[in-house]
Amino acid sequence: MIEERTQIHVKTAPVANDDQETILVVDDRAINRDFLVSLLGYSGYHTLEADSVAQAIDSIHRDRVDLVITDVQMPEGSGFTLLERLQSENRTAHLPVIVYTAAYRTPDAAAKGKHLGAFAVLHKPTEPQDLLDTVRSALGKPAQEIPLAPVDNKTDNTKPGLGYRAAALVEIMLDLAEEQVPERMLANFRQATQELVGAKFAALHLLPDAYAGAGEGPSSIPANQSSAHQYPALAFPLSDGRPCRRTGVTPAEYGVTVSEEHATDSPVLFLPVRTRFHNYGCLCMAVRLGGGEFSDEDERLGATLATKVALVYENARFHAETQEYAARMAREIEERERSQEELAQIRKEQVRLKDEFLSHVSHELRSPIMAIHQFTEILLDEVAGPLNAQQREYLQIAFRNANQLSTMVSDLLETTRIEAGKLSIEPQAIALAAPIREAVDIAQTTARKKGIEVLQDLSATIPLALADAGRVRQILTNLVDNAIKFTPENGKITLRAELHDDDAFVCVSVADTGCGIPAAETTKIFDRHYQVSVGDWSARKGLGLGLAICKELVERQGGTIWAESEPGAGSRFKFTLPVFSIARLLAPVVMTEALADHVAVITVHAAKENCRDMRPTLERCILPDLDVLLPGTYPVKSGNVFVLVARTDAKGGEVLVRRIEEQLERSHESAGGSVPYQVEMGIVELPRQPSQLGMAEQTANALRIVEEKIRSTIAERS
Amino acid sequence: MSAKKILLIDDDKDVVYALNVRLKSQGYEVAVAGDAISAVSTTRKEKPDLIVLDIGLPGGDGFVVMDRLKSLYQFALTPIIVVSAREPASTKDRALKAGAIDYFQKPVNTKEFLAAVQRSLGEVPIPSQP
Repeated sequence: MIEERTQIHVKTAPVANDDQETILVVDDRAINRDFLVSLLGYSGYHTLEADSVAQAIDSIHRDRVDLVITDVQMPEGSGFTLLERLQSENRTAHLPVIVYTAAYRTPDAAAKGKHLGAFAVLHKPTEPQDLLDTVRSALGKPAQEIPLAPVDNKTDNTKPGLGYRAAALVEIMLDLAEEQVPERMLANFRQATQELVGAKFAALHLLPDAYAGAGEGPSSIPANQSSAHQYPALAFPLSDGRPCRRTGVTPAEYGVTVSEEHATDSPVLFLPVRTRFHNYGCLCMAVRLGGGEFSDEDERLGATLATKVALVYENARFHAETQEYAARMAREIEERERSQEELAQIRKEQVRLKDEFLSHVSHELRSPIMAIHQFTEILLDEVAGPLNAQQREYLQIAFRNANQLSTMVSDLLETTRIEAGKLSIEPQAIALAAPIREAVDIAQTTARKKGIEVLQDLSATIPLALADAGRVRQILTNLVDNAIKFTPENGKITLRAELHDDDAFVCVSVADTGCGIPAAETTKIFDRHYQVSVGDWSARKGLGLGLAICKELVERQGGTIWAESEPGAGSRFKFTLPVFSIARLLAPVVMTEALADHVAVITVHAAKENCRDMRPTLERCILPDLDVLLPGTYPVKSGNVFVLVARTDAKGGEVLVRRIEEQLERSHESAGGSVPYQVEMGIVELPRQPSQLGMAEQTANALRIVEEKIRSTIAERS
Repeated sequence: MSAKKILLIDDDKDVVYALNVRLKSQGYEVAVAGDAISAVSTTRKEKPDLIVLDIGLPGGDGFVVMDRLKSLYQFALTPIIVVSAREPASTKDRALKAGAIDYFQKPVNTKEFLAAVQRSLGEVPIPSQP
């Protein structure tokens, strides 16, 4: 609101004469009331004022009122509410009401006002004469020409004063600024300017590109707001950019539909709509209300509004563009995400097909390789008759190649499994001596042919490792094969196992006396398909997958693999495997947030032949965060013992035992056999240590106690 | 003492031929069946001392053959060595559970294979399990 809400009470003075009709003017804006009061007063009516529906009702009840002229939009109840209130009471139902409103604010006012029983609905701007005629007719008087003072810019009493118009200008601009739809805003702008300037006819002519990027485009704009270029009279104001007044132009030249009596020689006001950057068009006003020419004030007000509206329009357009852009971006992002999902799906399917294909191919390759392998070996073993030296040599080459082919097929399949995440590794407590010895045995034949010596050097005190024996042998075989490939005749290969620096790992190494690897390549060689650039080219057969597989196998067992080498001085491949330590495995259970008070040690004793199935069943019973199923089976006299440690008390332990028994029962039923097993539970109290002990020491003590209990339980079984 | 008879059940003729030559050279008598359907009837006819069985066979896989043989009282105790192109990871356990006494993936290591053959025929004392 621009005016401050002054305390306006119904003005009663001057008291109406008996022959004077009293008209109540209802409007929340003082300037609007002032305009009507002065016009009506000038015409000989007595007026009362009210700034709200409530005040109007009060006034009507208290004073004699012959006619009500009401605004529609008021903050405390609209003009229509007033109409309804008056219609609902017998003594006011007959009271004529004229609704006087700005068309752009209440486009449906005419229909609604009529429907509610208004005598007339007038849209601003209205010729004062039209307004007075309507008032007379509402009061039941014949229309009468009321002489108005001659039109003169200085004493123009047919138009509201400059104060009113300035206030209205600000109001209109605020209203327009709130309008978000650019087209609707332009339509409102035309009506509001017409009202403010006081023109009988108006048209807004836009330049074609004024719509560019703005919402729905020209179809939403009335026909008379079309291209500004088709009207010759607009050429000058459009290029000049300043408002101007003219007379002596025909309506066809400026594109405003006017009634016949104004067809020629009407004053026209041109208001260019433009910003610093953009020319949007021109607003044309024709025929000044009350007659005469448009005044300087009309032009200034109109121009101000036109300039502001251009800015507001630009903003609205920019806003609409931004929103459209944002919506388009959102759509694009959505589409991109969808297509990425689809791509991921396709890729997944491709990987699956590739895996399936590789698996199938390598499977199919095995039988022919076997036939080649077998027949070559049969010939080499002289089953089909004696061989001469040359024949033997050739067959040996064939045999070696068949073996290489076989390794490649295995590597290929292994890689497929790694990629598919299907590599199975079952870490157990193992003595590394066994797989090392096996790897040496396997390599011996090939090595001996090349005059290479394969040695093992095992430290007497290597602890058990937590690893999969089969996988360790696979790693070692691979490393030793490589070593044989790159070691010249009469070289030496040494397999060694020793405790790693920090006691938590065992370090296994394969050292050769070969050509070595350039330092730059010692990490690259573990990449898939990488082949070193030195060495015996003829020996470098294979897919380059071996070391990549080794790396994956080592890492999956919790270790690391690396190569140390000096070109010419041989290379040393080393990998670590975690030391098997019950304490380390127990630590997460015994020491989570605080030291446990007690843990349950549950042993499941099974006959040897059932061990394989039992482990997954037991794994299903435990809670990964609270319980631990120790890896590996502990061979005892009559079978194996699984050890399960749970961070729980006797009661929880019993529940766990029951769950284990149920699960074992079920899995054995489904396997179709009854298998003997025995589940036992013991509770280990972990005594509070004297407080001077640190947390680490307390934990170590607790772990020692639990480990002791486990050892003694297993020992009892043996 | 007459030679022990080994029945080879495999659809790959070259593999069968190779094993045939090898086993004969070791003094065994060899019979052959090329598919799952003829496998059982050939077994009835030949009454082998040992069966070397492939898994991927036309007319039904090796497991079907094994089930049939194990259900026939005359052959329930005939040792079966499975030689398959399939991965031991997926097939070995199943084969051993179904009653096979050993499992080899193709291509087999001849030395190990012959040792297994001898062992299953009771020609070499079975080494005690560790």
